[in-house]
Amino acid sequence: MSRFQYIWQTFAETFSESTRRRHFSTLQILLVMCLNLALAPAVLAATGAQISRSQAYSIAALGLLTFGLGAYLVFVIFQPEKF
Amino acid sequence: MKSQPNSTKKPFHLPTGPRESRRHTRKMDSKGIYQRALRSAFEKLHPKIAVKNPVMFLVWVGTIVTAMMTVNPHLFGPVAGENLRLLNGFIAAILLATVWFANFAEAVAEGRGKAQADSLRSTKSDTLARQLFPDGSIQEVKSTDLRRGDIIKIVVGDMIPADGEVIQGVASVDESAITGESAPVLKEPGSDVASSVTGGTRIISDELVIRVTADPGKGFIDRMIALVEGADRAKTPNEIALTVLLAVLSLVFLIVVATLPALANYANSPVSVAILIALLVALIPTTIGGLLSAIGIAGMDRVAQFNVVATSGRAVEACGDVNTLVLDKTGTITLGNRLAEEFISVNNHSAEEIARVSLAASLFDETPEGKSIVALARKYGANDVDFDSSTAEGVEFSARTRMSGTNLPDGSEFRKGAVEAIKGFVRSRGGKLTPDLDAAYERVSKLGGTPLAVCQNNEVYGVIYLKDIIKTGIRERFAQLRRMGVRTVMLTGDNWITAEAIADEAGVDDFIAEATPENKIEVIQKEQAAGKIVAMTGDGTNDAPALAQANVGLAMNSGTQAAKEAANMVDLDSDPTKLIDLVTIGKQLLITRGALTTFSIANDIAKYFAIIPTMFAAAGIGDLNIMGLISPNSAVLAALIYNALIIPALIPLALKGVEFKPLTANQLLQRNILIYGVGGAIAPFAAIKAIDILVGLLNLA
Amino acid sequence: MIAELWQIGLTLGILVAIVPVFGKYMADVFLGQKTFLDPVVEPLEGLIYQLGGIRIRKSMTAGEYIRAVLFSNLVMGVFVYFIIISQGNLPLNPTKLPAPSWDLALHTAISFVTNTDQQHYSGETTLSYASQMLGLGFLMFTSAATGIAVAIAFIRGLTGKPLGNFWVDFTQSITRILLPISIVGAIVLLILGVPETLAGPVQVTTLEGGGQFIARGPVAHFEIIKQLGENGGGFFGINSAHPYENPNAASNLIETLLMLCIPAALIYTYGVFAGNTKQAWLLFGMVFIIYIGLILLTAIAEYQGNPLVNSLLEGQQPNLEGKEVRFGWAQTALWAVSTTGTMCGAVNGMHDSLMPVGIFATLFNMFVQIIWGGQGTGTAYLFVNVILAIFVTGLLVGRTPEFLGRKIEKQEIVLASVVMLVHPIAILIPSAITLAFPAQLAGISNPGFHGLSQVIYEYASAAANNGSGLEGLGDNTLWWNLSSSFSLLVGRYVPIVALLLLAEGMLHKQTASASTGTLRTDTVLFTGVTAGVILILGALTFFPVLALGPIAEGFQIAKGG
Repeated sequence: MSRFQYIWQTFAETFSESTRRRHFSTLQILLVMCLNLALAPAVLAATGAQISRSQAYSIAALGLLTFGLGAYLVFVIFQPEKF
Repeated sequence: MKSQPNSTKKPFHLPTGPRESRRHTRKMDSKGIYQRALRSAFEKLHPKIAVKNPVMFLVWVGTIVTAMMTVNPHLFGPVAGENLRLLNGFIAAILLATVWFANFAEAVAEGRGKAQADSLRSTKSDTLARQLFPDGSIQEVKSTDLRRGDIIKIVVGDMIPADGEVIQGVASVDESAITGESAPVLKEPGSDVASSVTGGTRIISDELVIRVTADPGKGFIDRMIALVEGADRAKTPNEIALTVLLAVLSLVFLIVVATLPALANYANSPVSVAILIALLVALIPTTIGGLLSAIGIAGMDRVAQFNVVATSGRAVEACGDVNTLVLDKTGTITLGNRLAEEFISVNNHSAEEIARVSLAASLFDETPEGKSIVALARKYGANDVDFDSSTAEGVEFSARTRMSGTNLPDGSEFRKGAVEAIKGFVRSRGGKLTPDLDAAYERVSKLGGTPLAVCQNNEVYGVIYLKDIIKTGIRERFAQLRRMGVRTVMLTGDNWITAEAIADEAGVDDFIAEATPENKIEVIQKEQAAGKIVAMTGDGTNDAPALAQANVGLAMNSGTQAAKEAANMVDLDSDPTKLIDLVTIGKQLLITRGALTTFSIANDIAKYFAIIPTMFAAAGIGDLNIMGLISPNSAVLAALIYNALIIPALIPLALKGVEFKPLTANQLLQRNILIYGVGGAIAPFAAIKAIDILVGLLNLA
Repeated sequence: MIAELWQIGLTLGILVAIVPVFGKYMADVFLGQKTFLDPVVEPLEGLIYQLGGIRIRKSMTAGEYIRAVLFSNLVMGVFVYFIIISQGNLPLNPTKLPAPSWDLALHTAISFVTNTDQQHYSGETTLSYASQMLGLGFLMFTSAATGIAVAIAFIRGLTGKPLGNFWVDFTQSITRILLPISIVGAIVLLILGVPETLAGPVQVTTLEGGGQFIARGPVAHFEIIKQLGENGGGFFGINSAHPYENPNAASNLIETLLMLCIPAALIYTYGVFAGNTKQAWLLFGMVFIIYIGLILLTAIAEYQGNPLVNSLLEGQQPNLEGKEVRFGWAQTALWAVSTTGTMCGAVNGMHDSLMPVGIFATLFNMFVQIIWGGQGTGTAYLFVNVILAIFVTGLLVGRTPEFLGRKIEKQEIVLASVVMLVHPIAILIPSAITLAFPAQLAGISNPGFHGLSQVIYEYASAAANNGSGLEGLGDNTLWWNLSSSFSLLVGRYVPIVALLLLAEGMLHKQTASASTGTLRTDTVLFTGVTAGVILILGALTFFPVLALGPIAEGFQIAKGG
């Protein structure tokens, strides 16, 4: 096995380790919401006065959701055996 | 004392009746399947299960977001338009239906397996077994307590409690529970083929002592149940690669759609999040994503319905890739038994003389060949009365001596066997050989027959012409295989000349003459070294290494336990020609996946033309609405409804498999690209237009 | 109109004639066969190998090859960055130009090391002769050689040969391909009137009596490698539209052919490596047909002109805005499609002034990257597309898909996927961010659909390592320099890593012999399906962007808005 394949595999393994627990724990959801708390004002600032505070919050959540789905698909691409 | 067959191959136990009538031996309740699937499709909405299907998981998440937007259409910022709640509600409902349809497809495919498993399970009941202990005592134990190596006794009427090897007794066993074949099978110890029994079958005469060969839950039936239920269904390599491709396409479209609002806002034609989700779902390959697992399960199921048990989907898939089929001549290409056709006398003997000697040599030969020699000899006027069979002694056939015969009390030795073996025998007795023996030998060989020389003591009398009967239709099947790019190699114990004649008549591509079972593994390794995928059949214990070495090893159910364990498929009907059908099933499985993938991607063109122009009508590209769809909302709904309905519409195709024609790869490509590629690009235009008109009529949007 | 189309036809005819000869020559070079240059270059190469301590016989693994590529490129990039940043203190700076900002220098170094040559500056007023010659001119050779080396390693792996040695491939690309052609070509360009001097700009008095500076410099040698190496970074800001870079029709013909010849001939080189020139010609033909289609689309749109202008002129006139009258609509259209197709990025007219159809064609070229494609990498992308086509069609014939007898399995699809993902990530995501904050970030000169095209074009050009631009974008800002640097790096090195791993994976696969059940990949049918896969995947990914950019602009102009 070449060194590169080794690195490749180690990467894939580490990656799968960190994402193995797909069912979100309460703590993870809390952390994501905290992140959202930081993101939402940025969205609000960027869009100007066109949207309300709650809309900014949900847009930021949607953005995080999209990002999460993207990460999920990347995981599927590298570890398709798990699906 | 029984004499053994005089060829290296034992005759196969061949089932009766045409293959079509033997399928669907286990009846299934199809109504029950659908009822169960309806419920199961809802259960599969559970996120833990849904996350296993990436494409459908995206749709499921989309459903939730659009459902939230049904409650509050302005959740993600103000959206222009009327009746937003209704539109979003429709979108959410269609997306939910899409996921549900995909789950339903999988549930139906699984349901068929489950029904089969249930009928198999009914054969497994907790029975009491009589266990024999080394001290000779018998004790009743639960069948589930039996372990590998235990010795048990079974008597008439008993269900055999576990897989085992007969070590004592002769009995007939009804194996219809697993093979569907109603004729009972004779089981006896010692012989390779007839000594293994399967748990769940019933003994219908006499009694047997068997050694258990499988721990509870690991028997043949248990493995079969697990397989048809799909409990340990691992993804095949091809399915994995396809999953990657589908995930990549989904990710590409996720990026396209997620970046679209920024572009659209800049171009002053903002789009609502619900419409974006609709676009995403329309673009990602939901058709194949929804049906992928159903196709795989159905493929295994087709194999099972064919009365073949595959140990893994990987084996079924490998069937489609097979380059070389290694086939035994006997039982596969020719009918198991050869029949005596003619006596060719040599050495100035008359036909009557050789008939008499042949009869004497075949007195104890119970094989069909032996019996046919006796019958032919009688036609020539030879008579049993000349011999006293009670004082005569049979000489068994063995692979080493390659001959069999009879010894009379007066010291005369009658032998028949391979010409070389008889020559040696005669020489060892100081006899002379004549050149017309070789001439007769060659004549028979060239006719494709098997020459058996016969002699009495040191005197050669002549040659028996044993004719091989080639199965009808086998030549056409080989021609089909050749067109599909599969090479056939015939293995036979016959000499080179005979083998060539039969190879020629049957139309195989290559043959190995004078082959021993050990040759098989060499042939397979040689082919594999050239990068070929090899399939073979086998039944004997000495076939086991070759079966394990082959990429596809099909063991006969009538074969030994060792062969069945080494192979990755077991044919319950013990019909070696099934290997040819398995190649077709394997290809069909891949083609079905390819066809639906192509179809799914080709569909995207029409969906784009339905959604994008109406979505960006504000940007002035409404002229691209070449289908003339009524309104932006109706266009989105039409595309989504099409997207959802195409899944149930294609369930029958996914379960039955795309029709396979034995064509060359290029012809197949041409045909399938035309149907699923070009067809897949055009069909949705018409369908979406029609749905749009319907949506307009119902005034839904 | 006919005469102009004949000009295009003549250029393409010469290209087709060059391809087999040049392709075979490149195959000979990298297969270690004898070539006519051996006596001249062998001593030179021997010296280089000795100095570098290179063991030429040692073939590298993909990992070693990748490290060599990344390491060499990193060193060269850093080296050039420091040349540019310190040009004020270096010689060969007759106009006493100061050092540019750090982000511009960084962007420029990355842009040239990645064979992109996207320029957020005007050469004559920003960079000294030292920066241009020692920095950029040097990178023009090495970045092109890196591309060729990677392509050759990829082809080797695909055809079952060891990947080779990067340092040897890299050296030979320069000594046997780029340098000899450049020397001859530069002399020809000199004869045709391109200057080559270290003297500063000349001051002249115009007929009106006003004073004017005319920029000049060591242009000829810079020009030739700019074209041949698909670099495209002009000595002057307006690139090959400048009469000192591209003085007349003859130089225009030579420069057009130069940018096409390596990527086009590499397809034939693959054919020689694979021992299947039939397949090479089929793939060549496929790309050629798409190429001609795009040329015709662009040329006819330019010929028909802008309806808004035509209605003022009360007659149909070709669109000559932003074009050199010396070249006219046809040669500009041919050049525009060629330069975006081959990832050269040099221009002989302003793409900003192309009709929307032309912008569509140029964007499409950069999205799919295989209509010849970049120096070396284009050919490799072509085969990534072939592999994807094989995967889909292989399933359709009921066999595990095979290419050259090697099975296409999970690893190949994963790596091909990585290549497929690069463009959406490197183009769409930064474009969306930029367009989300148009006032703060974009610096668009021409708002509306055209402005959207400008932003998309800039990132597409960076990610595809093209380098041309829909100028008019205020792109020398911190945001543009850094965000397009991201696209440049992702667009260059992620695919290179994936390609080399893919090649090594294919190399170690057992080959199966072909039978009638094997899908033949050297048929018209399969090539047609490949074209379908390329066009559909490319179109599906970028249709919304194209719809909001050039397509919407086209409808807008047609409607008289």
